[in-house]
Amino acid sequence: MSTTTAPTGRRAAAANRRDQETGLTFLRAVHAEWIKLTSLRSSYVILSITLLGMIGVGLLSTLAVVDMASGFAAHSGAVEGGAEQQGMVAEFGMMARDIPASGIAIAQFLIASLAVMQVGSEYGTRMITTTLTAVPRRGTAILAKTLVIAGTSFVVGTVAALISYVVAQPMLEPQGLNYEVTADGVIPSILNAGTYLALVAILGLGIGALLRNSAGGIMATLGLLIVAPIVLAILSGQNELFMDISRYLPSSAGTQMVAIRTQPEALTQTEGGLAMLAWAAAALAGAIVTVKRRDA
Amino acid sequence: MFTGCGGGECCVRLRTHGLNVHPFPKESWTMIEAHGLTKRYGKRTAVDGITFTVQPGQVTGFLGPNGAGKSTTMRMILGLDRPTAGQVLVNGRPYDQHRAPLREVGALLDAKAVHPARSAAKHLSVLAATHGIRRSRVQEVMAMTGITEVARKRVKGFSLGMGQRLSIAAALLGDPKTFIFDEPVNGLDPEGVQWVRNLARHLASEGRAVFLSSHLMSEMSQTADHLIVIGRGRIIADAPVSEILAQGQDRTLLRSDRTDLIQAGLAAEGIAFREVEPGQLEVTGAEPRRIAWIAREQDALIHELVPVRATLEEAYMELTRDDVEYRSAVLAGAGEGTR
Repeated sequence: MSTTTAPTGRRAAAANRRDQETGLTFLRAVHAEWIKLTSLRSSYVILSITLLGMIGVGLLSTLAVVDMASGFAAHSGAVEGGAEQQGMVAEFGMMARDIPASGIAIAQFLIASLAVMQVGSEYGTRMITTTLTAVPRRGTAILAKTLVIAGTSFVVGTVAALISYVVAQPMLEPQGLNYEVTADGVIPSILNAGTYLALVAILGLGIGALLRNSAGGIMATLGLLIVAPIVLAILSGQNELFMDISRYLPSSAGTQMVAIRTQPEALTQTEGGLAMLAWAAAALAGAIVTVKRRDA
Repeated sequence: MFTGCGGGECCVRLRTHGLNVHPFPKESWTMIEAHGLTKRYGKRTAVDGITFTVQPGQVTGFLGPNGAGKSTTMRMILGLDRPTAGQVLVNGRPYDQHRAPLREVGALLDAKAVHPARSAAKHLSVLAATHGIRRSRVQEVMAMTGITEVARKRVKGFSLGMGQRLSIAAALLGDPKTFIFDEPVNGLDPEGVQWVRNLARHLASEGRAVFLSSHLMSEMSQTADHLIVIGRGRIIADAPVSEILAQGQDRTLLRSDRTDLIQAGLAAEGIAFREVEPGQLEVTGAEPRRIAWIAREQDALIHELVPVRATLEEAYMELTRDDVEYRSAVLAGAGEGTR
């Protein structure tokens, strides 16, 4: 049997010294969570679909804008260079700027599911016992997970939005609708696409930790993202109050975050971001408190 | 206040165990100290105010029937379950307050506590990363546990034995002073059982504390130096294996054509016996020499006289007779299964 746990000699002394420096830190817990995320095929699958899905939605939005703009140019009876035509072209120009971040509409569901699974699958496979034995400081364990999934989601969202921007430009050019990345509101919109997905990830992770179950967590998170707005839309016919609440739901807040321009009655980009931040913070705080309090 | 071993009582106790030479510093002589440890789930008390210590340099068996509270106790040691009352310290501190928990305790609680879609090597890398343990150590523990060949395979396809080895590899990762193994031989083939046994003995021989649970006494008799027997959440016995063995009574089996005469002689002397079958008696509380003399006085010929040593199994059954939570249906006279 070979259970020799330390080599001998000078190398052993060096190894021992290195071993003395080992210990649990937050950054190491983050590193471990990064290995966890990148060592599962499902992560790559979901993140790839998210990236491609966002670019795909951007592409469809581009086609729609180009189609509308060319249709308008061909059939409009407006005088060329007239006020009406200029107004419409400006309108199409604004729509074109919404293209880069348009993919979040689909990406949010994928990111939410992935985030729920980060913690839900640990409970499902009982891996959580191993995790909490290695990282018994539970706040550290949850925060490390949060940082990894939120950071990854931010990068994927931002990169996908940026690619959508680049892909759209040559298609917009014939209509004269192309624009610089530095144009008003474009960079904030691209960055906010990433930020929104990061916050959705935190929301999903929090709900996953609260429910300790992947399937239930995904249902609850998607319910909040998809079903809640529909229910509130129906109810808002009964009472104005529901319309007001509806504005603060994650999906509406996210739409406002990446918007190039906002309607006066809607939330501004910053307000949308704060509303979303509040959702994410509440879910994360709830997750940390319950994970700390409950038996693993 | 309950503190770690400060060179007081527990160190004295250690010396009585004949362990004066020790590679670890004095202050960490008592590896696990539970004090009034209690866990209740609603009305059910899983662990009922148990107090015990686990010493280094020996294998401490944690023995009890299923449902006696072994796993719950081990989970409390690692901070996975919070005690309802009491406290448990590992190497002088609550587990979660160590700077490098994996270097203090290596635990195997549940061989299935692994994400099935991750490879064995990645699983170990994750755990190593939490503590900044060097990468070569992952290779080392895989070699030690014989899983190098399946390192890149997903855990999903592992046999129970392989999963067990992976969990043991994880426990060895931090080269800790204390090991906690919950039913480590469950589901292993004979070779695997032998391997775990040797590993436990080897780790103890290096001066480490090994705390190992089982519901099988036969397992313990081969591995443990010291036994803590638990039943219904309470400690029934806490003593060296030899002492617990001594509690079981030795018996003698004899065969004779005139057992009737011998029975009369034994009864006259007040010695307990039992007729196993016609012509065979089982005598308790008298050594073979005395039995032979009694037979001689009765003019009965004995043609077989076999002393039977008490097994640990019997001693254990004796100890836990009243503490088995789930009796078999036959014994309980109920129609349901054992659980």
